[in-house]
Amino acid sequence: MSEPGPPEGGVPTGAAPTLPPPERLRDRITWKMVLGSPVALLPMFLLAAVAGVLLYASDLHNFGWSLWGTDWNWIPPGPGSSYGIGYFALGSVLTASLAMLLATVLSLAMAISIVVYLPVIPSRALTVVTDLLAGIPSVVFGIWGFVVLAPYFGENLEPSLRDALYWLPGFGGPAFAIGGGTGILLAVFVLTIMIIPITTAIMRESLRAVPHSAIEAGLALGATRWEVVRKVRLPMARAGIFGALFLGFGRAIGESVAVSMLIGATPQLPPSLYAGGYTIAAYILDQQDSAFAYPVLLQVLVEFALILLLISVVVNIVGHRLTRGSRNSGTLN
Amino acid sequence: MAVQNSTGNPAGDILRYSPGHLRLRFVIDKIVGWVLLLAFLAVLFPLADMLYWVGEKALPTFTMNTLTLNQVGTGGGLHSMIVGTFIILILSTVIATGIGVLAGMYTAEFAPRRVAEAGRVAGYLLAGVPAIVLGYFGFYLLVIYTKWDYNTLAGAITLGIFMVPFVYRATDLAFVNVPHDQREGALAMGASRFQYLRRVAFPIAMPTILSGVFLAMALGMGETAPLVLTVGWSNTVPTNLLQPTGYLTGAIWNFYDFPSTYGSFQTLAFQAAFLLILIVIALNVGVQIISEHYRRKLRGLVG
Amino acid sequence: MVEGRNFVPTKGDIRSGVGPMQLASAASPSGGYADDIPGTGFMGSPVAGRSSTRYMSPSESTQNAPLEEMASTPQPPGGPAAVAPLISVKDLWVWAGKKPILSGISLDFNDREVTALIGPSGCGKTTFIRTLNRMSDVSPGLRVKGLIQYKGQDIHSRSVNPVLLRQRVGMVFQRSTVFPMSIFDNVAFGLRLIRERRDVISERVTESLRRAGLYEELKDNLNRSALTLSGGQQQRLCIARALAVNPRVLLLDEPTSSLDPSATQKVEDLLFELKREYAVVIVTHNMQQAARVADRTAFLYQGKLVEFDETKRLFENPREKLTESYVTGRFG
Repeated sequence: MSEPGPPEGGVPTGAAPTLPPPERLRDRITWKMVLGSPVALLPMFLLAAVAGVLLYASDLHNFGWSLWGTDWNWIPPGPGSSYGIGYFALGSVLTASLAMLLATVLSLAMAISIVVYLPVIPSRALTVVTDLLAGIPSVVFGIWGFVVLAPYFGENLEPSLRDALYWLPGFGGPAFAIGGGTGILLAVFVLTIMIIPITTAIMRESLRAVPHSAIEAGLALGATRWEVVRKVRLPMARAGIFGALFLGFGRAIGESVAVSMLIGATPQLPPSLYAGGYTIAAYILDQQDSAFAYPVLLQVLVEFALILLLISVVVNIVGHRLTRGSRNSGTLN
Repeated sequence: MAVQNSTGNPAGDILRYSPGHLRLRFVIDKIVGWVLLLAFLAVLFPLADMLYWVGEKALPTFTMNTLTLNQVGTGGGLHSMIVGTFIILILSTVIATGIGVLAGMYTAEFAPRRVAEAGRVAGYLLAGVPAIVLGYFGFYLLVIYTKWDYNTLAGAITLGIFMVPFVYRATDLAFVNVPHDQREGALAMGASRFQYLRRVAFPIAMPTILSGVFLAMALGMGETAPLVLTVGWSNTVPTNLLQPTGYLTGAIWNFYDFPSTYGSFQTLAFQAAFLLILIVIALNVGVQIISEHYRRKLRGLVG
Repeated sequence: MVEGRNFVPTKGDIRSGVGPMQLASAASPSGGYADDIPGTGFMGSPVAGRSSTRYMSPSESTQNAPLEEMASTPQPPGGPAAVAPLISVKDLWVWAGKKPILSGISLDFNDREVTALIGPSGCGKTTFIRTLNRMSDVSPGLRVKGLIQYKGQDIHSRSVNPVLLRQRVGMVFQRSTVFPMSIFDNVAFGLRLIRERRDVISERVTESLRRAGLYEELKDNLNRSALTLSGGQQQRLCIARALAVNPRVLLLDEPTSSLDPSATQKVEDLLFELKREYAVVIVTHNMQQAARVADRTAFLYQGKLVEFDETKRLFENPREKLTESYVTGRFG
């Protein structure tokens, strides 16, 4: 106790002796007990715990490679059951990729508008609105899509799309595939709206992080706003924009509730975008009651969850690597 | 008239309407601005449509009974779900704030550089873990393995883990962004680290941390998947934490696909959606007010 | 006044020796906004909003102007009637919020001459040259009042396109701002904007690099990334890039402040070459540099023009006490 000095080495506290002793005592106790302890590293432990518990619960070697098929027949689970992830993985990748593409186009446009074109007040207002959009629960999008959009999609939009774009892959297909409106197209539509806030926010920050000097140099050479965007801002913000793409994809592939409500719950090779499909996330959400009843199914579904976890970790690592530059400078501003 | 004047004007080379200049460039610049604005319409129109329909379906039958009655049969109100939502939200906020703030302070102020970097990456990855995956984690660990069956506490813990990274990142950011001068100044005056953090850094970091907590609450309250897998469902208020409970997102999830012949199930779902949107907006406004309040207070302190 | 705003002096007016002062009263600029300034407001509206460098006509805001002795600003020697100045500035005021940055500056810049602006840091030199090609439009919160004429044309008039103005009045910044692309692409940047033909582009790139004294050093490496060049080379590349779009005026904002003496020497040599064809305006905090390169020098202090004269006279025989203390190094 008699030793004056900082609780941690290397901190310059030259005038420490002027402090009253009780403070210093409390100082040491508090930091040693609270912040030196493992609680401080909990995010890391939590991540490891999630992965560890799921690995423990999955009992991987029971199924092995049969998981990677499209054969899906387990009711009831028994010796002849097959558990192929194929159609679910297809649905996940298809919906997430399409949503990501649409969201990229729209949010790039919105981000450029906000950063470059709009005057201050509309720009701020739209920033607030897009951020608010991020907070709206996915289940609310789900019920809106199911009750309001699905009938419209099934009766009006999808038949006319099919008539007009039948020559485009995915937009033709048999008429019965349209059904009640739920299906891949509806899921993609709602997923797009759901991931737009996050992709817009990242792209906005990337565009803002382009050095002002480069932008001014472009303007001083007689470039218009759009020419500066296209030739200076977009090339320099490229990494951040691709990062946003990845993070949007990660968000879309992990979404379970809204997709489950809208995609039509059919594990199949979809004949068109109007047809029903299924995604990994939606499936493991829907089947959790069966998982509760059948331990074997639980193991399978936990494996599905592990695959989702793996995808999300990879996608997020890439996404954050790419957006790091713009995030840091965004923080500095 | 400008064109008229520009003829024979020595400064014709800078005039907007001078002949011989590539006017297309400037037309494109303007058109692009309008076209980009269309993207906002494409996104805001569905949003407005959604808000309209939620209001349209929820409000005509929205009365005090909706807030005070439990759901009975196909009718009644959302009382137990509102209470359940708040029980879960309060517990999970406590968990997430406890872990997130401590870990964030540690990362920003104490951790060696490499540990801090690893912690940040873990935070980002945890935030990116799909909610359904966390749900399975809670489902296996807190419902099946512990043999607790579906219960409120499991939901609160799972949701708390979901919320941790948002609080953690906000706290980390808040402390990292405390101006360097403040820190140097405080330490040079002989303040201990504890005094520095409590008297100098914490007041400055507070609004950002609170924003992070509110954001985490808004996101946590809107989550469905982790709760579906852990909390179960009940239409009465639970008497202890190891019982299942109702919650607002669950009301939507459970009632959304009942056809209208089944009484007011779907209406209850829309009323729950209405309440959720209201609370999200309230939390967002709360964030704005808090950060504005603190900013003013700080400015007053600094002068 | 509304009628008058589209009045543009014709060649005849200038040739016949109508002084800029008379023009100023006739061609009173509109209080309106130009509408396609990059990086600012939305189309049609004042570019405003975000950056909203607001431009006010002199008459609109005379009542707001602090009561200062505007007449005390000295007139350049030689008389403007002899050669019509390429750029002429009359009673320019700039505010950032409520704080005046420039107070009633009047200056002329002649073709084929180097004009230096000197003064202690924070005196408004940079703001001043940024208003000359309306780069001030993209700085948030600046308010500009006064008349700036390029070849007799009020540059804040509605009929002036600031994008085209910036092609004619080029600018080189304090820190070199090469784009992360090849040397060739850097110089070709402005030419591609105006859709020049391929052969014209490569011809003009060569020509501009030669004028900037870079061609011999770099001719074999034009596809190298410009970021690999040394600081001095980068700065001369920025000059070449500005020259490529065929400007009449070149504004240089402390172009050598981050260069070593030998690179500085090269840029200064370049200025002697450039003034055969261009009007050059150079901002510098280095008085010796002004003395070496400039034909005429203006001394700014706290947003006011203290003295404007031939360089030799300003340094050797200043009329103002303040100038004398500055050039003899007693402050600044």
